[in-house]
Amino acid sequence: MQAAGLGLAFLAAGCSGKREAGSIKILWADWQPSAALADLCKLYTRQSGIPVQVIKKSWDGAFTAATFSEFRNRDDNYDIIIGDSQWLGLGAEGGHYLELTDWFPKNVAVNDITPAAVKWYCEYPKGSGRIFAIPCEGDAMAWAYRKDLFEDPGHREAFEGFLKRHKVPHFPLAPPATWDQLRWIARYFKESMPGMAGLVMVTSRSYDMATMSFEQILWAMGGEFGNYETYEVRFNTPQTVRAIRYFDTLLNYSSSGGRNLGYGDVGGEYVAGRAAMMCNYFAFLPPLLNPLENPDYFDKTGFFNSPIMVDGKGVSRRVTSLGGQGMSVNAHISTARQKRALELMKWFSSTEVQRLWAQKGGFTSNLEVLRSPAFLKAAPYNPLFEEAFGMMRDFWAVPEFDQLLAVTQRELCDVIQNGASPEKAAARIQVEHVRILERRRALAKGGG
Amino acid sequence: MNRGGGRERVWFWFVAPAVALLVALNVLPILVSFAVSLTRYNPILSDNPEWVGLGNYAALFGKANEEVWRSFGRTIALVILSVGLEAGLGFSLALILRKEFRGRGVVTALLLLPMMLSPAVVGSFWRYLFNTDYGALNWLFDQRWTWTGSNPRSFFAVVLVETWTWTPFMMLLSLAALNSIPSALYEAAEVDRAGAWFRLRRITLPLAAPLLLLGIVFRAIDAFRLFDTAMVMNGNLEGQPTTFLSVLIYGRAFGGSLSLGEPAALACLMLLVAMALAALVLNLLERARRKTA
Repeated sequence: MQAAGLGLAFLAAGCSGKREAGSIKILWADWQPSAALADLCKLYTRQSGIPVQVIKKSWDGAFTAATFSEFRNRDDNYDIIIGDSQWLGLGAEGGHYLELTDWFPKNVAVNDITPAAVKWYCEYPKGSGRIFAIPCEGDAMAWAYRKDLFEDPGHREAFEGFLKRHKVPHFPLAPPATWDQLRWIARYFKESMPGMAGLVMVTSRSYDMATMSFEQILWAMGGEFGNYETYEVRFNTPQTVRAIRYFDTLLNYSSSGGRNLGYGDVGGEYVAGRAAMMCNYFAFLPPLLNPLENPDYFDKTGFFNSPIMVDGKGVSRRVTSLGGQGMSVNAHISTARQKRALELMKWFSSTEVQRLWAQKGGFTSNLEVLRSPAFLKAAPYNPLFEEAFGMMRDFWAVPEFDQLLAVTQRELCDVIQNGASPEKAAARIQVEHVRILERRRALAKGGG
Repeated sequence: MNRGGGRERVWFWFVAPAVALLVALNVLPILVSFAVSLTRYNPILSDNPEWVGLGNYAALFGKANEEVWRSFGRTIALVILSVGLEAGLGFSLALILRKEFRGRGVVTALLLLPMMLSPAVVGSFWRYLFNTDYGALNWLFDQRWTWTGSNPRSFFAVVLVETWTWTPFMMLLSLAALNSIPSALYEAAEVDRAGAWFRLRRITLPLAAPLLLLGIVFRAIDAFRLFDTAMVMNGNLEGQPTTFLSVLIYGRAFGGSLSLGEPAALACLMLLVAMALAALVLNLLERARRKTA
């Protein structure tokens, strides 16, 4: 019966309608940055006379479904797709994203863009020099914290006593410099304030959530998923096991449902006053400063970047999980529409427009804007965002990313939600990732 | 001769639409699915499937695919638990409803309601009943238990919902089976002063067995391919207690970037298991029928 269902879907999948559009249609997720882009594009419409429509699809599957359906049907519903960084391989290898390798240096001031943004949002395969997107919404994971609690003299004194009791060398109750400090602070709040979580992190089984929180600890501890150029999997190492265990113990200081929180839930816990610290992507931080969305703590919220991890050998690393999306042209639209879309992208990537983009709350990758005093002063997290570009790393961006992600999510969540063994999780992820990347690895070696 | 030939043609035209539909909607998709299972095929990456022979089947049996077997284990556990409960409860209810009492028709009709609902609707409203914060079940027990997602309770929640939905089906079959037993046999047993337990063991169960077994076969096959209720209640994420085989196949085939080869192989294997299961129980049924005859 399942076999029949799959077969029917296979037969039905061939049907697609082709349509010529008069305006530029952009497909993106339904969130604050897409609203900002729609607003920004009104300016483009005024300047060029070309109407621009930003089609927003929800993050809970509709955005992925719309994009993959466009890919599968080689459809031309959208001129520009602002796809997740992990989809780059799928879009590029499947021939759905127009290759911009020649266009990019001629139309975009490459030196004005942070190299990390070019590497993670535009280039596929990594290190190949082939470009399939321009940076749109830069993003990385960062932390928000309750300044009122951290700066409270009573808490500072109590925290000092707490550290003494646990024979931990003194450090101030302030944004933590290391992950260990972060863990002690989280533990302090969890144990000293009933009903208060020390921290909340994204830990849900859905899509990429738990993995995005975890991987910054993995990399900071010296672990890795593998080599993104040779496709060698290097996951099952002592560093990985330590990182999984570390992540698991951190969550002891989270809220009662803290081992299964989505991107939105994390903000909800923080805004409700149930967490002293929260970790999420930069794109989710602006509402925390909005009195309408965070009425109790909008003026009591501070921010910091993911801290340093010092390993047993004294080596310190500081890494954050990359988020965000690049802007790509749908390769299945007509040449005239491609030309029109490229004109918009050229306009969007100019420094002037990037400045406006940043003013509207977009996270730019333009170096000049990132380093400008206006940007750095515009929001308390902006200097951190500029710093984060030097700390970013991403998950596999190959076409098989979803299979790799599903395995990682499954095993990681089995540890943090069901108490499975970190050793077994690391071993299983290694074995399955090796299988999933088997053919790609052989091709890279020239054996396939 | 002409008349006979005409009748045959009429016969053909009456049967042809049904056969054509069966071929188009069942046989052809199964064949296509089997063909896909022999390839590495991702329609997002390429329109041309790459032949891998039995590679996808071999991969399913490898150590790197333990989740398939965990999922298979969950599915078998679901079949045994839910069908066992449905058969037991359904038969018990039928024994009660067999007796004449006032309002028996209304009670029977009410008991049949759950199986008349769409599984998606059933899954949706049970999801609300199981909700941790405002669900009726937690309110009843004054607890904040999690009944969905990756919590082990979610498996038992699905078993409960399946049992609630399909017990009426087993009840109906049991009732039909019980009503088909000649009353003379019970009268004779009464004359011989046979006890209730003896009557149940030696008359009711053996004579009701063929129909009961038929019901169990139907339900086992149905439970083995359970998808909708589990999907609506808990989604298709890997590794959850309710990621049964159908849910796993759907998630792997359509939940991400459409890598269809391996899920198609798994679907074909699942079809084989379901067919084997049906053949096995039908064989048992035939034996029981012969024994009764």
